[in-house]
Order: sequence, then C-alpha cells, then structure tokens
Amino acid sequence: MEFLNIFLTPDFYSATFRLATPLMLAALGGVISERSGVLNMALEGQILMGAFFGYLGSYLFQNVWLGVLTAMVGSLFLAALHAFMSIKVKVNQVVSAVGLNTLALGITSTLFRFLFGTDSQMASCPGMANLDIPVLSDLPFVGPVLFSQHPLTYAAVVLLILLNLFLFRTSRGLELRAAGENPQALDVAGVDVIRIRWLAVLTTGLFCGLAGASLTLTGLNTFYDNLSSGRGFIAYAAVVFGKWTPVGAALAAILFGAGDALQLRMQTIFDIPYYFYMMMPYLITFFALVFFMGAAKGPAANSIPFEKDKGRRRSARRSRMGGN
Amino acid sequence: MKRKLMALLLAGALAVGLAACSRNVGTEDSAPPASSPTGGTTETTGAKDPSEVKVALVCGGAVNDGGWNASAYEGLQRIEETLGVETAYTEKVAVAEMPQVIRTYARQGFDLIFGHGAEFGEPMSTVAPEFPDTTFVAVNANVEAGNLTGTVFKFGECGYFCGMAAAMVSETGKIGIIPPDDAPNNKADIDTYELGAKAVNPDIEVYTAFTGSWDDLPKAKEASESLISKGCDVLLAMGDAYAVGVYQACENAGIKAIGWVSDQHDLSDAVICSGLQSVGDVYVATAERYLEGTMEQGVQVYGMPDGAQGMSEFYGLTEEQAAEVEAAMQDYLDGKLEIPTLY
Repeated sequence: MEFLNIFLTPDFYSATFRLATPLMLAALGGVISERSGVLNMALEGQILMGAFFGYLGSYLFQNVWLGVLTAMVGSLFLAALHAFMSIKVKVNQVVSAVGLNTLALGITSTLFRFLFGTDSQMASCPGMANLDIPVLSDLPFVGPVLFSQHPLTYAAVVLLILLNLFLFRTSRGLELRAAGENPQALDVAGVDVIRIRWLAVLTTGLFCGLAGASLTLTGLNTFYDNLSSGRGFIAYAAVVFGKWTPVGAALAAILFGAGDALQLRMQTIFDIPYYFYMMMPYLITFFALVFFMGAAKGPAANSIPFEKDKGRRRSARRSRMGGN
Repeated sequence: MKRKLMALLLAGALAVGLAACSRNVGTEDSAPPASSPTGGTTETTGAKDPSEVKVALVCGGAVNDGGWNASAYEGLQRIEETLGVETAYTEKVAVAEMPQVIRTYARQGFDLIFGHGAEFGEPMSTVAPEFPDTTFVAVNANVEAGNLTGTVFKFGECGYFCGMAAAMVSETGKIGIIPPDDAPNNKADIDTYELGAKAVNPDIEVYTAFTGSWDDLPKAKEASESLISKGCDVLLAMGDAYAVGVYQACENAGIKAIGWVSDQHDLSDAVICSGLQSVGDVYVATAERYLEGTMEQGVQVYGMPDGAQGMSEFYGLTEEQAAEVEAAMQDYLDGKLEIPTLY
C-alpha cells in the first residue's frame, strides 16, 4: 500500500524528470551523431567536460548563463576531437571514445585540482533556480511536476520536439539520416557527407554540454572529480534502447530516471539488501527493452568512416580538369 | 602521418588521465622537531632518527574530498610538520593498482606506508611479506601480520550520539541517514544511529537511503529528496564528498543535517553537529609509536576514550539538549552506557 503511495505523490514524478534531464539531453545528442553515421560512446566524457566547465564558467564569471555557455564550449572541444579522430583520421570510433572519456576525466580532475587546490572547501558557483511557469505551475499535481522544473529540463523537452521535427520533417534532416544509412548515395546526390558528420558530432557536443551543465548548475552548484558517474553510458544505452529515434531515446531516459527515483523511495519501505534497489533502474530499462521493443538495428553506416568512392573521385578530378 | 598523430593524441589522453593519479612528494621545508631523539639513536630500543625515515600514504580517493581522504592527507601533513620526516602520497588508486603502488613505495625505501581504508587490508597482506623491513599500516582494516598493522575505529560510537541529537531536533518524528553502502563499519553506525534516536524518542522512525557511491553528489541529493518527501527532517550524511549534496537538499527544504568524520558546520548552516573521527590523530599517533619503536603487534583500536572519535560542537541544539548528549557521552566513557560497537 505504502508502495503505491509513491506513485501518488508529485514528488516522485518531479524527481523522475530531474534525474532524467541530463540523460535525455545527452541521449538526444547521441542520436544526432549516430544518425549521421558516427558512433558516439564519448557522451560520458563530454558530459563531464560540460559539468566541469559549466561550473568553472559560472564560478569565474559569477553568471550561470555564461556558465552554460562555457559548458557547451568545454564539451564542444571534446566533440571536435572525436569528430577529427572519427571522420578525418578514421580511427576505430570505439577506441577514440574510450580515449576521450579518459582524457575528459584527466582534464577535469587535473584542472579542478590545479585551480581549486586540495583545500577541500568546495567553492560554490551561481546556479539556476527552478523556473515556475506562471499559472500552469499552480495547477495541482501537474504543476509541480511539469511546470516547476529548472530551465534545462524545459530545454530538453523543447530540443526533443525540435530535433524530431528536424530529423523527420526537413530535407536537412533527411540528409543527416542518409549520411548514416547510405553515405555513398548522398555523395552522388552532391551533398557533402563529411560536412554533415562534422556538424552532427559537434552538435552532440553542444547537447552534452547542456547535460553536464544540468548536473552542476541546477542547484548542486559545485563540482567533484568524476561527477558524471557513468551517466554518459546510460545515455548511450538510451540511444540504443530508443532505437536511434529522439522520442525513443527520451522515453528510455525518462524510464531510467523513474527507475532511479523509484528505487530511492522504495529503499525506505522494504528492508531488503539495497543492492537490489541499485539494480532496479537497469532492470526496468532492460525488461522494457526485452518486452516492448523489437530487435535494435542502428543506422546502416554507423561507425563506418566515409570514403569517397574511387570512381567518384576520378570523375570529380576529370570534371575539374575539364573546367580548365 | 595522420595515424601517428592519432597515436600521439591518444597517448596524450592517457598521460593526462594518469596524471590524475599522480604522486606527490612533500617538501622538506619544515624544521626538524624540537623533540628529536636526544643522545643518539642506537641506545634506545629501536627509536629511529626522523631525518632518515620516509612515510608514504596511499589513498583510494582524492585528497580534496573534504572528508575521509582529506583527513588522511591532513594526518600526513601533521606527521611531516610535527615529526620532521619525509612524506609522499599517491591518491585515487584503484583497488587493482594498490599492490603495485604499495610495492613501488616499499622499493623506494619508504619505511612506514599507510593504506587509507579497509580496502587496503587485502593488498597490504599480499605485499607485506615481500618487504619484511617495511612497516605497513592499513587504516580501518582488521588485519595483522608481522610487519602489517590495522587500525580501526570503534565504529558505532558516533552513530549513537548523532542519533540522539537527531531525535532531539526532529519535529516530525522521522529522521534519515544516507550512507554509501552497508559495509560492516557503516552498518555499525547506521544501527547505533537508530538506537541512539530511540533512546531519546522510542517512537521515532529512522529511514535509510543508500547511494551506492562515496562521491556521487547528484545521487546523494536525490536520495535526500526522497527521504525528505518521506517526512524526515534531520538527515545524517555519511559519505565523503557527497555530503554537500545532502546539505543542499536540507537547506532547500529548511531542515537539519548532521555531518560525518569532520566538523562540517562550515560547509552548511543546516549542519547541527557532526560525528568526528579524527583520522589525523590516528596517523600522528601511529607514526609517533613507529619512531619511538613502541608500536604494538596486532590491530589497534581507536575510539572515544583515546579522543580519536567524538562529537563536534552542537550548533542547533538547545543547551539542555546538548547537555543531555554530553551526559550520555560521559556515561559511555564511564562504562555506564553500553553501545554495541564493531570492535
């Protein structure tokens, strides 16, 4: 009975959205990159960069919005490295991501120690308060859940809608999806595949920057080594669970957030070893995947670096010579 | 060419990653102590010359976490300052790397090596027999061998008095505790927290929310929110760095918090008192005994009678309430109050 009460409190649902926000933002970013054909398991590192640089920016400028901006710049840097490795140098994209995740942990911990010392007094930076949407936030139950969240949660929802429209309702979105499915065809159609992939990976960086900022700047207002604690990998799982669609990834992220919010509340009710509660978010997501989703099939050209077809290269050269 | 560049970049990535787990050698600018052994070192029973002794510390976490690992770092600094020995430390050592890091120090001629945490018990038991001339100390580990000593706190003491304070301040009759896991040493304090609270108010309800991590700040904050929504109005933050997350949730909800290991009132005004474990004292006392050659075999237990555990000032209690807790502490010291401690 007490267990069912959890679902009757608005507090559970607002915790769900709070916990899901960083996952959702990062997962949406992941969808963009993967849809364009670049495997992106470096979400974790990018979130961590966003979390640290968001904190740093907000602390230095004493302005939370400049903090959000620095967060995006910080993870953009890592995203650029990933794009360079995956698209230009054409290394194995898993290896590149693993290296970058380690690099992000190193950069953030080293800079954090270098700038803030071992003095252990955690300096706090300006953070953002919850934004109550007028009138709507006064609604019973729904108000506190949906309309009294921090600004980045709203941003996540808006970005979800925009991304969905972009991917499936615009020709640019079609091009991006084609870059991940059949880049050769796209190339023959005269679209620059490399450019699309670069932009996609960089955009992922911006999304992850927001995800990182939503960890440090929404009330926590401080940073600590490895603050992201594996959330990037959960977000990556959400991309796959959501079958590489924005809505699917967002739902997976929310499901995971709900699982986490639920386990923290169930701990106070049933006295069973808490390890079972720790497993819950993963189990719930896992079962949802098994029972409600079919086989997961990603973009066909995902993780395959794009090389211009030899024939195309020759014909391009010929046409250039012909122009002379 | 490009592949070489990539290889270089990746190597750089790893190097920076490793830099996060760096070794730091303390500077030797502190003056030699006034109390250095007089009249030569050979005549007494193995007293050692501080200038020839090197002390190393190996930590599992970061020394700037404001709690558990910071206390070890503080202890090491005090050893260097008061005893005048050379010190070095390595932080953020993963469990799998511990034996290697410990061996490296032993090979470099460090005489006394501290491992900061119960997780060092096992690796030190492995390494200690290889270096019979080196002394190993595993803090909070229940281990002992020829040249390996464990130091433990009487876990359970602080939890009891924190529980008393929490029950006195609580208005809703519900209090909470947020531990990282239920390892035996944590479990002892979790249990006595409830005992202490029930001693003050038999009807009080105590709720627990585990985070599964020592330093996941956002998770600790959410765990606090969950307990607050349950009606708890005093929360004990039993972790390292994540205590900050708990205090923020408490501040937002306008409720009280209790700190752990060090006096955390300066981190947040919500903190009404803190259970103290003076790890620094344990380090200095152990190093002193080592230098004097009076270190005993076996596990060393440190508790309130040694001054190694205790309570901070009471900030949020009335004078009568504070006096009541202090009276209970005195009763415990006098042997009139029994607390089920781990050791």
